[in-house]
Amino acid sequence: MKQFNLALSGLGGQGIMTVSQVLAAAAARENVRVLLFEGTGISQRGGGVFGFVRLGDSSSPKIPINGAEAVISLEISEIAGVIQYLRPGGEVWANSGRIHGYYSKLHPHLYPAEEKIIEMIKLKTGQIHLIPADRLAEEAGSAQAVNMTMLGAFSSKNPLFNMDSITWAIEDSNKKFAEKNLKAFRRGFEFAKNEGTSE
Amino acid sequence: MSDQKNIGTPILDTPLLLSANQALARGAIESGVAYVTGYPGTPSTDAIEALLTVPDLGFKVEWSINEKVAFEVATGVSWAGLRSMVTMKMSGLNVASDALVSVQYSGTNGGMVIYVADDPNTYYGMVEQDSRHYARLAVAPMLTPSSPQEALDFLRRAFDLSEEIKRPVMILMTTVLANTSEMVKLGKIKSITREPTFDFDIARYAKAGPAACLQQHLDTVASLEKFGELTDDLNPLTLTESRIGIIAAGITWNYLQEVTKAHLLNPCTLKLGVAHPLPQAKIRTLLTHVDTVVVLEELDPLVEEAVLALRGEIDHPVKVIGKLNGPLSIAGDYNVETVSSVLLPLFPDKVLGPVPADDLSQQAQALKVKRLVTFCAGCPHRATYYALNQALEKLGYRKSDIIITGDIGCTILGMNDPFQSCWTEICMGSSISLAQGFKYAGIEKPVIATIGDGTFLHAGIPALINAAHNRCNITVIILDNHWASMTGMQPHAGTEIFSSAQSKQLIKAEEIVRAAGVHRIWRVNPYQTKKMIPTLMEAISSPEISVVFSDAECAIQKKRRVKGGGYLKVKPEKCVGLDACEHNCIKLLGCSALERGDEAKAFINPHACNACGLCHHVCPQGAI
Repeated sequence: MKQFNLALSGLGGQGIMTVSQVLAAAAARENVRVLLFEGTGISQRGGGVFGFVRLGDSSSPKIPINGAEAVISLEISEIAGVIQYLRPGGEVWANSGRIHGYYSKLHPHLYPAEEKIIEMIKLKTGQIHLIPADRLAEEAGSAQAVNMTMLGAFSSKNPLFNMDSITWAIEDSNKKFAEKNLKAFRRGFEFAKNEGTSE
Repeated sequence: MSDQKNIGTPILDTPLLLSANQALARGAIESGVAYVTGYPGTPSTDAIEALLTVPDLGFKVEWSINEKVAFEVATGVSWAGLRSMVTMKMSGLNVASDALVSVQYSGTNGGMVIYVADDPNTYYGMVEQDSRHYARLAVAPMLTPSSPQEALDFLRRAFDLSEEIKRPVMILMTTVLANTSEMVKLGKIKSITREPTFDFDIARYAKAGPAACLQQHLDTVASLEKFGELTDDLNPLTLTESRIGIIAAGITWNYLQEVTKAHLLNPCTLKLGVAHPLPQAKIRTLLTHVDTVVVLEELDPLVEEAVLALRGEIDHPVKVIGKLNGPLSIAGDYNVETVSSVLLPLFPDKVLGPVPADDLSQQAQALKVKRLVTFCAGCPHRATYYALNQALEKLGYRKSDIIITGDIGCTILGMNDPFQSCWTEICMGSSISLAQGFKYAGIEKPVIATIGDGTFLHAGIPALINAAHNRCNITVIILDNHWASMTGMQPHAGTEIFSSAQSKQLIKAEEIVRAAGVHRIWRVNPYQTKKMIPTLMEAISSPEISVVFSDAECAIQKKRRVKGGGYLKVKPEKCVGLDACEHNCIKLLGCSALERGDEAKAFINPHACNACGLCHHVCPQGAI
């Protein structure tokens, strides 16, 4: 049975939950056992969001520490919230884009330099994929679809499901923005597959 | 709505991917429920939200004015013989508790289920209370499902059990469970057609004198015992050759499974699907069989205490590991590591996995960006608290001299930077009463209470009546954004758009305030800062109780309806830069749409801006 554990993080409004739900829906469609946990917290008001998608025979909705094959973060600094779940040598897929908070907008030094974040990640793994998802989403015509772009990039190296299932799941998650989301997904997919990723 | 999530579907052969909240909702539908009500309360809210997506299945579902009323209305439905369910978060159960205890003692007719959600580890910021205590207080049976599938199955069972013992049955879930989704097998949807009927029987339905009340108590205790007999199968006991036993309540069962599977452990186990009454006989059997018992339960050591009490009856020493006697914590929630850290040392030949490097956890913590939990971009509350701080400054008060009480909901975010305008938060409606208390203590300077519109209707009315009746000179600001927003923008009795669409009667809070005996009432749009500041100054300076309605719709709700709102722009030639500008827009307002742009100048994110105009007003350079 397919076994895969994925932790996701980002900020409220970025669409982490949608990515988690798309993967869970694709799993359901292919009869792959799935356990999904949506950690919404105080997301609506600027807080962090995390999600766990567990494929296969798992009991706990929370991924054990060091138990995730990969983590996806929609905002680079938010990796800090889920890195403990990644197994040593696992894959990090991170949007290189940053979202500042109140304090770091006023005092930029409060936001960690990218090198420091990479240094921290390297304590766990060297498999780091930094994706310029903000730019890619914009290129695909939808700055809001950073989440789909990241999902596309991740999927290019982790074909967990058939493209049919993913496409269906994306369309089903939001019929109104289906086209835009698919475009963003494909942009991320192409980027990671063809142009390679930094690091 | 996604096709995946039609919880009303008659198609039974396809499992649905459902969260425990959604599964509970489906369980209610399958049980032929007639009426579901509650009050929005994270993490229970989604149960009713799910039911609201399937309005035409023959049952009635609606939000109520507060949990106590919700409970009582649901009781009426049950007493007339039909099935009802009421949902709430833990604090909501506190509100409904008066009705809970009384109705539990009276008993019910049609099945009645009470769904309460706790929040161990306070993911949502609230009191970390263990609602299992209510089951004990009210002599009420309580089920604790461990998975979305169990949420559905237990709920179906709960309705049947409720009708068999003629008492309400409680179901408890927690944040993590409520937000967990899995493929759930559906069952047939019952169709229950009953004629409503109700008899005169004051011995049952009233508290008709000491003898009747005593009998009610005895009958309720007996009903609980019967419930225990009927639910033996919900507490599976597995005895193995091991001398180590583990009792796991609710969701902790899942963490236990993860650990025993990963490390191939084979302890004796007792899964608790029933929190109250506890299966004493099974616990006794387990204790007889083992030398060591580990008790896994989140929050209070209720099971642990019961185990310790029973241990005295066992003829050999049994070590009990939990919170009282052991490393497990009362506060916070559990996870896989919680269980493995206490379990693996008991199996010396099993090895604990690699521990994450200490410097990783430390480094990760150090790199976490401190984020401000604040109002959404364009929120009218931002405008209100900004105006309030300005009004106090113009009146010559020091911020630290003027107590401002806060209440539950989005309004409480005024306590954070950059406003620091709410000093307190107790429970629904308390801001007004607390303010009165400060005045009675002798605080001479103005005391101000802030409260939301939904919260005011829920619980603020009696407090306002009490303050006005006693001629207490406080200023009450009702931040009226027309919705119960913090929980996900639910309507309440004062939500005009909703009321008219549903042909419900709109309730106007202003009329209630007037009837409560308040003569000084204002209603101002907070975005009109030039009007709001002097209004607040006048209200605060008034010699008698004053109420200011700060009236503007929740920005998110408005945006959902009114498209194309536009956005504001910073004129870079006029902006002197965030570092040079002491009273800059970001510092003063903390709006997420305001960003640090090129050359450290302010920049407005066009995707995030909701065009409220507040930054335009505050910019000292006139650059917006």
